[in-house]
Amino acid sequence: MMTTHRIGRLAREAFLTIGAVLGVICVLMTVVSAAFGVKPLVFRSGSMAPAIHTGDLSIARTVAATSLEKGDIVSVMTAGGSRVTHRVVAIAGEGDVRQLTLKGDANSTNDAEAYAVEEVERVVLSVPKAGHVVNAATSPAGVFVLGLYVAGMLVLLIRGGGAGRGEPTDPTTSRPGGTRKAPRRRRSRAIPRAVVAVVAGSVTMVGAPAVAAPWIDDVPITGAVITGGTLASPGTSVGCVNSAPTGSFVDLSWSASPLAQVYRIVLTADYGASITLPDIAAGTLTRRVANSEVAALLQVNTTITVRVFARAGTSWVSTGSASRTIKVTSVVFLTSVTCT
Amino acid sequence: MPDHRTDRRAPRTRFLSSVRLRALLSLGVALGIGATGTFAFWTDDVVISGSSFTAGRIDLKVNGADAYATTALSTGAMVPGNTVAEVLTVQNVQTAAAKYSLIGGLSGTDAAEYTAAGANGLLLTIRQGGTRSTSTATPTCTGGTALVTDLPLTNVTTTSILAKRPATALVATTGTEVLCFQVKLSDTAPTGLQGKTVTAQFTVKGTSDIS
Repeated sequence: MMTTHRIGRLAREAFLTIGAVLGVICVLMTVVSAAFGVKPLVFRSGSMAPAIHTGDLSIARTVAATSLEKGDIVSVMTAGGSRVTHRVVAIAGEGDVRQLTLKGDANSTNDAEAYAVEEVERVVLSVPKAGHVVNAATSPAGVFVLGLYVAGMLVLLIRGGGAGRGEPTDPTTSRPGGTRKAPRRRRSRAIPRAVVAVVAGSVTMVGAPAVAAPWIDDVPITGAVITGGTLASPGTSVGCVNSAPTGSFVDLSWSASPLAQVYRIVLTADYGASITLPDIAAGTLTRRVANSEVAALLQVNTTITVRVFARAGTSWVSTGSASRTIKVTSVVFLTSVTCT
Repeated sequence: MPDHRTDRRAPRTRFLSSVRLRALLSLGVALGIGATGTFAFWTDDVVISGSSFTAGRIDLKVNGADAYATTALSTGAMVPGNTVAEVLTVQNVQTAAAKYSLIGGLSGTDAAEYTAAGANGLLLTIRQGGTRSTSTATPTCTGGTALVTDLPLTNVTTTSILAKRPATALVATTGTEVLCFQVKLSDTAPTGLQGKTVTAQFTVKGTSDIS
């Protein structure tokens, strides 16, 4: 019975002492952080390996962008609002603002985004694995445990050593000289302490800092060589056959142009006027032209140059064209068209 | 035993306050842990409570390769209205979830002329889950969901084409997304583009930042 008590008491003593030492360290760190603009960063991923691994805790200090050098590890916010901690590979810009190009040590390529910064958190040192502790402490389970811890300490604060030593908790028996006044004094002291403890406990709910050193991986897609075709001329000359009854029709023909989507025939009179016939589908290589179609170009005796172009889309035209001339004459009020 | 107790009476007051002092000091742990979050708050950081660690790493592949050379996007002698198409599968083969974005553009000596053509030049369409039609000489992408439609390609090869996606990250090891790429020479391409050659290049940029 007594041994169990003793062991329990020793454990409590050890727990309290360790807690107190850690507590002092934490408070000192907090004060130092506040005084020197130092910030802890927990690494959630490993793209800075082997310098910094997943779960490491880094200490970063806010510095002016102008004081940065290549090779520094800095923590910046992306346009998307997440935090990236990578190494500086290039610095550009004038004045107070610098454009930083960053790259994770384990990444094969630079970050896509260039970060424009005036102030930046520069990593000063990193503690392996310590991020896991902070992360565990700020997880829901960790917050719960921390809450219990705070509550336990709160009890010790209010009730004093009686509970801590595993002795009778009635203040009147544990302190023979004391009377009813003692509890009152303790209670009055306990209230501000409780406030401190509750505030400290609630601060833990704020959570861990979001810090990422994301892996990136680029996959190039290459080899897509795209060539615009060249529309060949549909031959050099246009075939022409007078079709019966002579003077009424001529049959024009030309060679295929491989890429043509349509053929277009342009008729130009020797005095400059021209008409364009409706486009002809690519599969067709002949066109019968009636005398009525060229009547508009007739001026007594008119020589007309026929040009056939290959076309594609709305605007592509072959540079060259197949051509020849035909003759349009007037015979007793009738228009006559013949090959020359 | 009562003697023991009596012996400890004398230093007791100091010892009692020591317990309280230590209890008070112990609360500093909570303050210290809370401070990391508090500082984040002061500097307008995004605070993620109980943040998760990304163990492992990412490795994206396109059609199984870390650098993919297309087979069906090349073409000789395109005319206005022609298309080329190829189905590319983005895979996340490593142990962490990943998202990706896509950049790309044109390179080569004639790239500037295609750029100048703007919407009358080369137009990129990407259909997620689409398939390549094989029925015609100028294959197109059909089906699926259009992510971009007839986006003019320019000679800036870092032009953003797809913002970070998908909404639900590609899961580790097995996450894939099928993209059908279609490049079309605009129906209204200027005649000056005849005989001009460019290389279309794209980069899938994977990241483990899946926020």
